[in-house]
Amino acid sequence: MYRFLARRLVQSLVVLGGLSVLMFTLLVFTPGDPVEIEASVNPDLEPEDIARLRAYYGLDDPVYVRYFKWVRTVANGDLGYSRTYAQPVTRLIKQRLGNTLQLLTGAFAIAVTIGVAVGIYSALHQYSVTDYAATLLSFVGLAMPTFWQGILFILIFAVWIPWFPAGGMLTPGVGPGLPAVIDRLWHLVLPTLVLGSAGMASWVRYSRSSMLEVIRQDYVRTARSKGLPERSVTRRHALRNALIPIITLFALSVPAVLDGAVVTETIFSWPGMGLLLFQAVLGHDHAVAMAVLLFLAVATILANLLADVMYALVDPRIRYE
Amino acid sequence: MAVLLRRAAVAAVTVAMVLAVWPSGVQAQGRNRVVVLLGQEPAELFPGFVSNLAVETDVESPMWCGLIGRDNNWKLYTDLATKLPTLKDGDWQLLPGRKMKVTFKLKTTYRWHDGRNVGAEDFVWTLRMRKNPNTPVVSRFVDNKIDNVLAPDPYTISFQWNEIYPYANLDPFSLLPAHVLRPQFNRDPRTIDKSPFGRAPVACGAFKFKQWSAGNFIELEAFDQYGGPKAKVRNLTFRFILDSTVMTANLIAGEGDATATSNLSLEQLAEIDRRTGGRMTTHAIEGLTWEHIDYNMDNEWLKDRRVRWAIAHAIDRESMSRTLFAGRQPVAHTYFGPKHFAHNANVKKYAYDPARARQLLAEAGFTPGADGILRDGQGRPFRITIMTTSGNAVREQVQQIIKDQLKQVGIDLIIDNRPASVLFGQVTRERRYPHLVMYAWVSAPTTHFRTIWHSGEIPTAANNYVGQNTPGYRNAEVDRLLEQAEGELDEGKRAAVLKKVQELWAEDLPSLPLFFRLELNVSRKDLKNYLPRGIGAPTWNAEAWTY
Repeated sequence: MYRFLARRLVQSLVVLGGLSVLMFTLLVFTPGDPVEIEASVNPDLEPEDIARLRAYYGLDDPVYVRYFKWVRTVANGDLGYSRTYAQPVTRLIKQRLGNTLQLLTGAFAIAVTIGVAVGIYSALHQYSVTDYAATLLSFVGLAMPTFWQGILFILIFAVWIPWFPAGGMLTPGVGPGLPAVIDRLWHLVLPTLVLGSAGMASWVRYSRSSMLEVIRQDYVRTARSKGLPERSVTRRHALRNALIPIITLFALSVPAVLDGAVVTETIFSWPGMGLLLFQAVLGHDHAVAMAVLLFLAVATILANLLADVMYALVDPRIRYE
Repeated sequence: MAVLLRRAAVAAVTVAMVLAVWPSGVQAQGRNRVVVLLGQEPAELFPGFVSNLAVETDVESPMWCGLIGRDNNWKLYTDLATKLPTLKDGDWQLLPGRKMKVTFKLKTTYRWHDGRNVGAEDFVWTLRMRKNPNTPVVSRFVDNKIDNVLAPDPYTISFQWNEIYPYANLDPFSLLPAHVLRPQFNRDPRTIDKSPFGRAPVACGAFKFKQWSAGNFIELEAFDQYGGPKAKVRNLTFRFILDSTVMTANLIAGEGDATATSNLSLEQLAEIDRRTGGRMTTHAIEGLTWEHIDYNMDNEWLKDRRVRWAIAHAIDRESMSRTLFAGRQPVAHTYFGPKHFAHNANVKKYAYDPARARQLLAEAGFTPGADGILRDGQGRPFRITIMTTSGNAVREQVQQIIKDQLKQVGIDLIIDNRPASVLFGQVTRERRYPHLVMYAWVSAPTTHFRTIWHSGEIPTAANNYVGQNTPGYRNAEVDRLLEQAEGELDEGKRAAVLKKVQELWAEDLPSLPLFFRLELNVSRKDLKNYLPRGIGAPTWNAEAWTY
């Protein structure tokens, strides 16, 4: 197991290195660097200004030089300096990470609890009306793009029935302490529901098919034939085994939820990492975009690693060499 | 599992109940607060540095003071200066060697937000800082024309100009507080833009900075020691909402009192009109963003101005204005907007006239082919490409209409769009468009379009693509008049020269003018004195806003 972990960690580092090269190159080769964009709208920018600003922002260096400069700063534990926010990237990430985690935790909790429960129930009552309804709804959920659902929710729950705010994180003027906490929770409801329901559909599908597979196994039939009550069969024998692939899904769905967060945060103006990435890419702020992308890459790699490890932990039949 | 589920259900119901009883009053905005919605979050509030996004000007305007301001009729008014310098009064002097001296007397009542006096010293220091080669100032276009600023007394400043510049009676730069920024500047001028000042500025306007909740909002509050007319509302809050659909929803839901720079469309404004039952007022004003199509003057077909005229006659811009913009965005016939001091309403106009277009093309040597597409003298089909920014719905609609209308006169139009970064990073900058390119120039009330029409400004590989004359327009008389206008201090005479340029230009037609993009804004009906100008920053007079 430890050897496996060590090998995977080394592999992960290689993957991360490759990814960083790829991401950096893609960002740098997006035409129109910040100075060019400025020059295209500002008639007062003279050639000397352009040359001076390009040198100031290090845009004249060859790509590989810029990449290695970036690697060097990151290796020193410094994520660089945001050109557009005029502050260290680390500080920006610190401000935003917590907000994203709040959103993700809520969304994950909703998606997993409701999704798994509905999936299991629908597997146990296959071909019932509930099963059909759950299947239909989850397909609708899978097919509905997050941005559209976000706008729909705003329309319904903020415009037609004004229960919740149409985006933002805090109402200006709400004092600190408990009112601020409640105000923030109030702002969290819609984005959490949107992000949660986006993931919920796949949880329903996975847990339903996993449960269906398990209840057809020989050991479930054996359990039933030896006279165990149905409750005990489903709980002890079926559910536990059905949860194994779902646990993997838990880790593997982290990247998908993070992706969804970019869209949800943008729609709801929720100041998290996703919104930061969106703005950084639009504003050609490479230091910030690279930091957020790197964070997403690390999260994805760790989640995959976690999935492998958890798989071995919950299923004694699986052993890594 | 069941126990877990039961607990989760109980928790969910509890949360729902708390939320249900939570008074919706948390969103009630006091009558002392104006919430302005912005389509983007400012990067920093440090005029002159790094970025100068329109949304930054929206927030900076109510916070900053300046010598001279420009109102909603584009008329100048005095802010920090006691009067507007003029040649007649002698506070604007012409000196030998085409130099100038312009003197401003400052009001003594202005204070920085930390209580210190605003004075001549701040101007002296700001110019010195901006002229230091190591400070990352964005543009030194105006700074380079000024040799020095003198302070004969603490409330008098004299700018010494090293060339004739017709707008020397306006603020040459945004004023910065010397006492706040000097220590950082003295430590290292290269890092002045990294000062915490950019996220919490000390300025001198009617509103002072209160807090910036990153990604969320910026809050300003009335500054009681302001030297000008005091703010009537106590609090000005800017909320950032990136998506225009979401912004529309917010305005309908009553979560914003006004807007500044945003991506709202005319349809969304109509929706807001319809759904708020007269609670909100919508404003659509012709702005400074000039939408147009550049002809590539080096193309062998487009070189012939009869072909350029023909294309202009073949396109029905009037009906586009009616169908796409509900008639609220009139057709442009020149590049200066109607409020520009040199706007010439009498230039040659190209009305929709397909018969005239066909006739001009025949004169230019094109003959109809069997497939309905014209052929040139060598038998090649008249097939041309139009490029623009992909994803811009309005421009894409305009393209479709143009394609259809040009087909009527025998021109086959191919649409080839690129993302904005590619279009402006390569296509227009390096003139890499074969025939037509549609985009916009953003000007200012003081722009002459010299860098756009002067033949010395054509970007080429040899000059490292410097200049903004994207069509490749050459007219010696236009060059001469543009240079003359730069040195003409009398506004009436300058306007006459620039009007003449527009006449010659409209005759040559290096670009087809389309529209001046509307500056779209929304405000609560009961918010008084909200007066957008069509030059950005509708917050210019936020101190006068009141319910």
